[in-house]
Amino acid sequence: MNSLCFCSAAFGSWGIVRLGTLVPECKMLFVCPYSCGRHNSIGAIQHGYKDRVSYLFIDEKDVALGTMYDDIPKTVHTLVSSEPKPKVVLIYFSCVLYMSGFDWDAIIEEISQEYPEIQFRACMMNPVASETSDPPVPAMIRTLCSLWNKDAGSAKTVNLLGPYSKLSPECELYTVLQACGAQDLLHFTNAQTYDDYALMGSSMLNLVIRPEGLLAAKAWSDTMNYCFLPVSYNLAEVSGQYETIFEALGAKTDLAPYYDAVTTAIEKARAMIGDLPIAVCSSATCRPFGLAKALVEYGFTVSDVFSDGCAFYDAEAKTWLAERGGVAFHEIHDPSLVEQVGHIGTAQIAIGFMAGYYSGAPHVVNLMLDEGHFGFYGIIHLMEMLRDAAATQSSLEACIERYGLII
Amino acid sequence: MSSYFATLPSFATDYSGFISVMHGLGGLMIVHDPSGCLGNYTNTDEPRWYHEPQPVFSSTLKEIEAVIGDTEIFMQKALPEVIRRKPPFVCIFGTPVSALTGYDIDSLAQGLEQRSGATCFGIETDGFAFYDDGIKRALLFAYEKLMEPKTEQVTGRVNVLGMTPLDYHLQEKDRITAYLEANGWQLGAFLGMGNSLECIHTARNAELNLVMSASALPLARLMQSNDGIPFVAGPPFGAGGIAEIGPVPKDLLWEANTSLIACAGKNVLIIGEQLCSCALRQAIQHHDNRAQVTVASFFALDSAYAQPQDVHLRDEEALLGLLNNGLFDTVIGDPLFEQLCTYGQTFVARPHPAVSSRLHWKEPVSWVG
Repeated sequence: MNSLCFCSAAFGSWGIVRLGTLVPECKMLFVCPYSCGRHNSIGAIQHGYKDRVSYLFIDEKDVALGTMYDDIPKTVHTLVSSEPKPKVVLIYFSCVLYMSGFDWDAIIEEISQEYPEIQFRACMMNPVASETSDPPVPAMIRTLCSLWNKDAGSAKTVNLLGPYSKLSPECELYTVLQACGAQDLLHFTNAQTYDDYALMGSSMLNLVIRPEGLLAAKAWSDTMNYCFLPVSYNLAEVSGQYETIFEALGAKTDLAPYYDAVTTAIEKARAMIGDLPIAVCSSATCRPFGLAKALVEYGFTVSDVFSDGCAFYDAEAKTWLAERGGVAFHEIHDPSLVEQVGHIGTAQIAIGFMAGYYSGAPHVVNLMLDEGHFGFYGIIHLMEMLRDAAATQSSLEACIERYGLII
Repeated sequence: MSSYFATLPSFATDYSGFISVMHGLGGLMIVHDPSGCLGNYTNTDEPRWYHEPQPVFSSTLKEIEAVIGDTEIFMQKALPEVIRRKPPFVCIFGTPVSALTGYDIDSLAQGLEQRSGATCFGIETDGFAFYDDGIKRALLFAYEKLMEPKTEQVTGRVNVLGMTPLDYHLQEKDRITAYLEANGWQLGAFLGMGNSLECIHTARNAELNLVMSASALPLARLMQSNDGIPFVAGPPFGAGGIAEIGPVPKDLLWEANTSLIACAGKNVLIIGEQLCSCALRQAIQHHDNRAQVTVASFFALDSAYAQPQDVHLRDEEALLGLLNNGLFDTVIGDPLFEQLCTYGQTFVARPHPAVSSRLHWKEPVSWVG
C-alpha cells in the first residue's frame, strides 16, 4: 500500500493460527510478544480450539538474550506430555522473531530429534512479509501441505486447495470428478486423523480454487499437477474451468444438464431484485470485479466494488467494468473511508461484510471467502443468497460477531 | 522473561491502552506496524470501533522498510493524510517490529512535524507491555502535551481519569456522569471514554480528580503535586458511593452489585483492575466485617492501595497457584478465569474487556452503584 491503512470492523478472516486447526491431532504453540497473541487467542476461544493452542509470551530481553532456545523445548515437552498426545506440533513465530535472525530451523531439528514420532513445523505469523513472495497465509497453507506424505503411493483423488472449508455437498464438482474417474475430492477437513490427512500426498491433482492455496500447489508441483481455477460466478468462465479440469484428468463429461438450473436461478433472482443496486467486496470472493462483471452481464445493477487491490486474474474484469462505467471502485483500506462508513455508494444489497459495512446496505449476503462455492453450484447458491438477503434485513454487526473475524 | 499461557488468552497491550484514551479527541493515530498490530486494537480492544471508527491507521510497515530503516516510505504514506486532515495532533506508535529494529519513533515524529507543520509525537509503545501501561502513559502525555496550565480553580468541577472501555462497560460513562451530576458536580475532562479536546485543555482547573483505574494514579499524583487538585481513587461501588463526592442515588443502584456484596464468601479472591477490585473489597467488608478479601491483578498494583495479602500476578501459573491454594470460598473475576478453578469455589463472573475482549464486552457489568 502507498497510503496509511484503515482497518475496518469488517476486516479479517481466519487468521494464521486458526488455519493450523485444519490438521487433525495437531497442537500449536505460539511464541510471540503479548500483542501478537491477542487477537488470535481471543479468536481461538471464540471458535472453540483454545485447548489446542498455547502461548509462550516473550519480551525484548528474551529476544536479545535468546532465551527462547531453552524455553521452547521445555514448553514443547509440556505440550507433548499432556493428553491428547499430538502427532503434529506447529510452532508459530511472529514478526519479531522472523526479523531477529532467530534460528527456528535449529529448534525444529532439536525437538524433532527428541520426539521423532511427532511432526514439527515452524509457521510464520509475519504480516511484515505480506508483500514478499512468501506472504503469511499462502506460506502457512504450504506448511500445512508439507505434512502430507510424499510416499503414500498414488490415488485417484483430487485435493481441493485454497478454501478453508470444504465445498457444499450440493456442488456438482463431486459428480463431475467422479464421472471423470476421480474417486474423491479431498479437503483438509475431510480427515479425522493425521494419518488420513497425510494421505492427501497421494492425490493425482491439486485443484486450487482460491489464491491462498497457490504456493502449496507450486511446492508440490514436482510430483502433483495443479490447476489454478479461482472461484468464478461467470457462466462462461465456469465452463472454461471445467474444460481445464477435463484436460488435467484426461476425461470429460457432459455439463449441459447444469446450465438450465443456473439460468433459472439467475432469472428468479433478477425478477426479485430488479434494479436494486448491489455492492460487491473482496471479503466475499477472491474475484470481486469478476463477480461484479458477471452480475452486470446477468442484468443486475452493480453500484460499487470494495476491494483490497486487484488480483492478476481479476484485472480483465476490472478493466471491463471501468470501460463500461457506472460502477464505483473503492480500496477497502483507504484512510479517507473512515468518516464515510455506512454511507458509501448507493447499494441496497451488499455481497460480503466489507460491502455491507461501508455501504450501509440494509440487505447483506452473508458470504465470506467464497465458502462452499465452486462451479455452477456457486452461481446457483449465490443467486439463492441474493434472494434471501433481499427478503430480509439482517444485522451486519451480528453477522460479523458470529463469524468471529480474526486479523 | 518468557511467560507460558496454556489456557488464558493474551491481554490487551500498551498501544491499545494508549489509543483507547485518545478516542474522540480528534488526533491522528498512526501505528507503525505491518497492520496486524493495529488489528488487535480494532478487532479485540475497542468496543467502539464498529460504530465509531476513528482516524487510527496502520503504516503497513514492511520487511524491507524495517530492515533498511527507510523512513521516507513512512513519510510518503503519512504526509498526505496529515496534510489532508490537519489534525490537532498526531501520535506515532511503536510496535514490536519497530522496537526490535530500533526505529527512532521520536525522530520519525519530528520529521513528520517538520514536513507537515502538524504537531507530532512519537509514542514508544512496543506491544510487550499490558494495556495499563499504555493508559498510564497516555494520561501523562495528555497532561504534558494537551492540557493547558492552570488558570483558576473551577469549584465543583471534577475530572474522571483512567476510565476506558478496557476496564469498564460502555454504559458506565453515562452512569458515572449521572452519579456525579446527581451529587451536584460538574463534569470536566473525561479521559478515556471520549471527550472533547477543549475539556482536556482545561482539566487542570478542576476542583477534584476521580481516579477510575490504577493506571491513572501517576497522573492524579502529578496534578495533586503541580496543580493542587486532590483526588479520590476507585469507582463508587455500593450505596455509600464516595465520601468526597456523595452517595449513589437509588435509581443508579445496580441490583447485581448489591447481591454480589451480600453473597460474597468469607474468603474472597478478586482478580481484576486494582481500583475496581479495591472498591468491591471495601463494599464486601462494609457488609460483612469478617470477610477476608484478597485482590490479585496482572496489571498495575499500586502499593498505596494494596493490602499485604494482595498479589501481582506474573503469569497463568501464578494465578493457578493462587486459585487452587485452598484459601478462597469465592472467586470474582473475568469469566475466562473460572476454568482455572479446580475445587468448586463459588465463581462470580465480572467481565474485564482487557482480558476477555469481545467475548464478553457486551455483557452489562457495573462498577457504579
